[in-house]
Amino acid sequence: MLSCREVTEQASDYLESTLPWQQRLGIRLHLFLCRHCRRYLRQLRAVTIAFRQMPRPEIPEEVMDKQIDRLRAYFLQPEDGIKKMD
Amino acid sequence: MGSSPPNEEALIKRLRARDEEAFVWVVRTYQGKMLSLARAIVGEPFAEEIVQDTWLAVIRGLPHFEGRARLETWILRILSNTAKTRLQRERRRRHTHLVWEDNPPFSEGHRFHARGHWLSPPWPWHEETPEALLASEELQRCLTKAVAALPPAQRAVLILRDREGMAMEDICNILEISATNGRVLLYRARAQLRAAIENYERGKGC
Repeated sequence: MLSCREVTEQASDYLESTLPWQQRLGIRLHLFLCRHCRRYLRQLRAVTIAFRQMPRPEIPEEVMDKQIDRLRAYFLQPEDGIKKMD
Repeated sequence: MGSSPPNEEALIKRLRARDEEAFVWVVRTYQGKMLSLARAIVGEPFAEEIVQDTWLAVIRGLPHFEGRARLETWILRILSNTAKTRLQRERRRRHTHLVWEDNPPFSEGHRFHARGHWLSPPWPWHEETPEALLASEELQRCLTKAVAALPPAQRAVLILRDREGMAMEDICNILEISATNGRVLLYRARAQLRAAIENYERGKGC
């Protein structure tokens, strides 16, 4: 039987669904019997999914265009592009 | 080109032939991810410069790129190495104290009895759902702050996995770490986000 400590250490892998089925089964059995570990896993899942869905910093269109222009010159003329980039 | 990803082999051919449209598509497609990873490894002040240096290295390297890795993986690996090198240099200059190899274990060991049962169990939150976390600006600030406080390697794995949704295999390839190490870094990062929210819920602030 897994200990609570072992379950918390495997919790992230459990969320990833990469564990072999025997290990998953062991964790599920433990979770069935242990409300503390159920809570730990619920919270870990919540922060993981929340972080995934948090708004991400987007590059403004005009900044992107400027960057592309600078790089384009170098892409087309790597030999003399180096001087231009500095 | 359109918005659908072009065939990789054809794309690389066009890039080698200095096809401008193909190049612009590649920059637009990968720029966001590159900036995200550069920030994760070396921090905001150097991120843009790292991305630009990476593009120069990519352009120079194109003739030698054999297509053994996917284009994205190859570009991000160049970026990760450029950023790691920069991290070392900035540390010598004392601008940062961060080290890539530094991976302090995040242990909640003190919360368990010797036999592994909870001694101080997880603190209950008002609501334990992603929706509740996303609905609160304060909690999002907490998460953002916790991410910013992570060691670079943990932050890099977390961002590529949970924000960019990349496969662990690709992430380990890009960061040049073992699969086991990747899993450990991800676990430590996520555990610290959970701990940050727990602290907040206990009234200890962020």
